[in-house]
Amino acid sequence: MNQHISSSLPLIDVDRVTYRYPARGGTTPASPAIEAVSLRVAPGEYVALLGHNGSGKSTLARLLNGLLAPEAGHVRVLGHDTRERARRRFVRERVGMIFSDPDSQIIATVVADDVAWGLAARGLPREVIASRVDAALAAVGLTDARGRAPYELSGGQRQRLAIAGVLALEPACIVADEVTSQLDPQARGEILALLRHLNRTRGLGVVAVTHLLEEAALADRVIVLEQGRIALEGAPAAVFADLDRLRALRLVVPEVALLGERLRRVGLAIPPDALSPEALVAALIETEGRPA
Amino acid sequence: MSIHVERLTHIYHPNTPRARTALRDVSLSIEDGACAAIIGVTGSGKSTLVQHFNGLLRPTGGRVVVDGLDVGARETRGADLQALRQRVGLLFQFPEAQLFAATVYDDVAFGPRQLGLSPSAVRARVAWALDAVALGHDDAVLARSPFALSGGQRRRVALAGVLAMRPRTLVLDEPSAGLDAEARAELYAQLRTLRREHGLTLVLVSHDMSEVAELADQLFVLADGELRLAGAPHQIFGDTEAIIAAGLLPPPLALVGALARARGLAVAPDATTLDATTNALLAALEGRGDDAR
Repeated sequence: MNQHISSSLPLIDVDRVTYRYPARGGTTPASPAIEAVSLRVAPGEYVALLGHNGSGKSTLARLLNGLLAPEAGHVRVLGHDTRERARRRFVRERVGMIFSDPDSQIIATVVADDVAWGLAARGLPREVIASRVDAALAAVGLTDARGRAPYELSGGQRQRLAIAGVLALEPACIVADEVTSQLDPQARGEILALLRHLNRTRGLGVVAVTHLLEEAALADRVIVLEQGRIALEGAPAAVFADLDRLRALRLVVPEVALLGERLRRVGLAIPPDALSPEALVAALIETEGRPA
Repeated sequence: MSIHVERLTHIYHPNTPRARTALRDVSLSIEDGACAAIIGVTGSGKSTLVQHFNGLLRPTGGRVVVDGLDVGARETRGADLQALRQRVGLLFQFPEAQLFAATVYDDVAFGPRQLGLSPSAVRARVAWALDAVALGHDDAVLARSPFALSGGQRRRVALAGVLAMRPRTLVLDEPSAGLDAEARAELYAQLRTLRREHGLTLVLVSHDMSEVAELADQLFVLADGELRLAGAPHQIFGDTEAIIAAGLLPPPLALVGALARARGLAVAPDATTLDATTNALLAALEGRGDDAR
């Protein structure tokens, strides 16, 4: 994907961006939802935008592909400003978005038609559409469901269908806004594993918006937002080392993290980003036999 | 009020090619004033089950007796079911999607008005219900459009609309789905208060057992339309294999214990709190170190 573009160019460059929602009914202007935020997402990077409800993370996500335009500052996708009308389609194709409710993105009455919809709307030749639909359905594991009606699919399958619709446009990055929040635990795990797999095997960039530390722990880098500003940023192990700070940012610290912290206090080498039971037990087994 | 389910079977579209068995031979009892949680993955039958509790669905086989009324019996009259529906309030998933009135007041008052109450009685019920969900009932709140509220606040308005019918039992389908931790904690606190101060029986429907275990004293785990596990949370949590077999995720600390056991560490299965798990893991590591020496 886009091999001709130099890899030193950030995929997404957020440059001192401020955004404020329009005030309701001509009252005093609302305070900014995003204020003077700068960040860069490199090609193939998996970044988590973490924050409690109202911290600004979904607003920031919508600024990344031009669904919202900054009031001040610039967002550039592969060098193109998201405010340039002429580049809007390019920006939306390079940076795809999926949301918590897959049904908000499903249009057609047959799975394969739904994936083809965005391609057909772009007037691509029939053969190109067919091959891209096949590839996108295979990538999300829905090949066998291609002839079914979306409403017959489970919540997790519908979310995979929404991902396939975005993948068919061959994006460089997917912004996933709380995409597991309406799913049961099994489907949640499937979707997270799928995003991780697409990131690892295809170099697809992922910006995952979440309020859950466990989900943010899957990222290469975590950016914590509070009141529209970046409060913390770093690798998961660094960001999750200070649990009191995360609590002060109104995030829920998972019980496994608390357990890890207690075990660290008695001298066991449990990394702070071991937030899943699997990761914690693996770390525990590894520390065995090592001097404390 | 109590709910007794005896050998309940429910088949959708019976005797047609589309017949589908949603519940098979389910028996359970929920006592007056209890907080029960019905847990299962999507399609396990939990929503079908609770729709029997106020007579929205009738059993294909077996019996459902709510507050002494057999909801499926031939002799049960429509008027009795109507009365039952007032006593059993049902809050569906994402109830805020069903708000429709121009103001918070009109939305919450909709149900009580249908009961033919006097305007002052309607006002009193609306005020009580909005207080119970901690929105308060000053004029600024009452006159607001529900659509100008946050998602968490809209959900509370929807809950107030159910409470304004003064139910004795509240059935809540995934009440905290999509809420953040703070809004979730507030909702749970309000439900606890309703139970403690007003004696409401609560039935929570969820796919997340560690979440509802905060409130519930009885858990019922459904899978493929069958009751697989029943008991107090601490009894069920240790059985991680049965929980996983039902397609659910065990509470994280119970899973830590199970995974540690699978890797040869002798951790007791009933260690599901933070203190107990910490101590059990340290004891198991120490024991193992002694063996190695």
